[in-house]
Amino acid sequence: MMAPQIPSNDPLAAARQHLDFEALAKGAPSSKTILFKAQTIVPMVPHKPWERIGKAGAGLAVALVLLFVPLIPTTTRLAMVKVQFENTFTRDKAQEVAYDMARNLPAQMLASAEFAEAPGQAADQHTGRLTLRLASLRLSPEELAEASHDSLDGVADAQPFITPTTAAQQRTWQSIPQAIATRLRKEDNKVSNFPPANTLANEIIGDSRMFGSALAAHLAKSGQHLVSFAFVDDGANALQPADSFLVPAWPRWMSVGVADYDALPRLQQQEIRTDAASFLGGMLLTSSGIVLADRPGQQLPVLLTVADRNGNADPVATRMVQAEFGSLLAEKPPVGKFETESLVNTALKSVLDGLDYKVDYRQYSVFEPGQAEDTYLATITINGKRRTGLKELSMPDDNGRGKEEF
Amino acid sequence: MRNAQFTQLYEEVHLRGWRLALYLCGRHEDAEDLLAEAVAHAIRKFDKLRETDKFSAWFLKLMRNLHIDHLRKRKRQLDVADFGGDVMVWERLNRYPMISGPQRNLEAREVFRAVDRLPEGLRTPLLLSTIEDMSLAEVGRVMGIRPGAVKVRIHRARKKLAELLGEDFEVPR
Repeated sequence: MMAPQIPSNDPLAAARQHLDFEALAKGAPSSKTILFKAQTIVPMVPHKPWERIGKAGAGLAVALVLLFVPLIPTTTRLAMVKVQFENTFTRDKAQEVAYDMARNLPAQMLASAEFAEAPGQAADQHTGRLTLRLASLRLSPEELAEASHDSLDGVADAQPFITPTTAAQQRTWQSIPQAIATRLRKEDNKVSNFPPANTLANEIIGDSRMFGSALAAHLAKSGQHLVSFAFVDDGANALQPADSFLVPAWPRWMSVGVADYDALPRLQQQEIRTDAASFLGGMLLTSSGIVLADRPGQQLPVLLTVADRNGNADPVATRMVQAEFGSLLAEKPPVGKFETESLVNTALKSVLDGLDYKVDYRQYSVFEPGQAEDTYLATITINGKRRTGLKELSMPDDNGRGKEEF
Repeated sequence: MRNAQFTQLYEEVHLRGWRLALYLCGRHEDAEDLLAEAVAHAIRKFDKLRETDKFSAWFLKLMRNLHIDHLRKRKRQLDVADFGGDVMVWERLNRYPMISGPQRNLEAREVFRAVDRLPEGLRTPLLLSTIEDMSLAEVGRVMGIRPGAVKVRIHRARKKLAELLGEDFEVPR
């Protein structure tokens, strides 16, 4: 049979006329076959009402659950212990004990020391009672007592008596987003008085609820009932509610409310204020190590911290400068701020001779202005040279064990 | 129900999808695999399709993209004739009409074989427009290009076809 001839200027259009669409369709697999084959590759999603939420809906539901359902139990506790010794120490020996304990102190603990000379002593004796206070934000009072015992192991000849003094505990349930938000809020609220490395002090001073609980437990011992507590960063402009008072303490001022405070006698009010101030000051939140104080709440007139150029505290250099400063202090107690600064500079020149350093003084009043002594915080930053250039110093040693090198 | 809706929409586009699969692959077995795979992808993505009246173009585009992905995986674009595609599609012409060109007579199959030699980017719009009788806008939706660009491609395809056939056909614009 002769094939027909089609004259065309569009060969494709001409060819299309003879394309057998029916034959193509006959050769096609049925739609059911294709659908079945497709479902062996991916099954059709069953569409029950509760399965139609979709991925976005499921994601939203999970987010809501995370937001509202309390998931993470968070327990924080502020524990403090008091360490006393059965025998008395000379001032130098007490200082050595305090330094040695500070050297053994775990990172999650803070310590302060008090030295109370016995009254009516001859001028050449100067013995007294040493009291150490240790604080921790993580450990229970029992764990803290045990850790304190380890830190004091072999430090003093005398047997230490360790007494848990204050423990405040908070148990909160937080969802994951809340926990993240809390952490971010704490970051914003960070007080810059401490080097970043001193995370424990930063945490204590950044958690007003926990600190308030601990202060409440502390004041309850003297029969006072704490009704409100807040750290105040702009103390001069803080509004004080009734039955509360402002404590211009270092490193953050506090607004402390005590039940019926306004009705108390003035002397008792003063006692409460001093008690609250010494409670914070007694923890010695600075990382400058331990310095001795003559009575509770009172520190040496200058708290020294030596830091490198990045702001990280240098405990060895700090201790050396403190020791030098302490010996200068014993020779000639300073009168007023300028003499104190002069004394610090003398100590620095002796220890940091030849090094490039700068001193930043800050003044804080531990007690109410005009009624107590001032405390200065001196931060010394070593800028350039390595601290291996520090002069070798000897620690005070009553037993003549020779010079101890740092 | 969404499943029933998908099945109904697919039934409508099934034959056209089959033919496009054949044009793209050239062989029954390959076309069936491509079509089934395209349906599987369509099932997975159907929930994202808001305008169901555009299901046809959406499905054909999905299948074409799938085909291109396969070609890319093979690193080179295979000519349909390389694996004997011509025996399945174009041999099904019920007759073998001769088309008289300006210089010589051509067999219809010869024309389709030349079409197979066009690059896919020219071949598909040409076939969809000429054989499937789809509008420029519809072809554009399948190809993912504007109607004006479809027109340009079809023109180039015809010009190339004339070159392949060795005939001086007048290329319609």
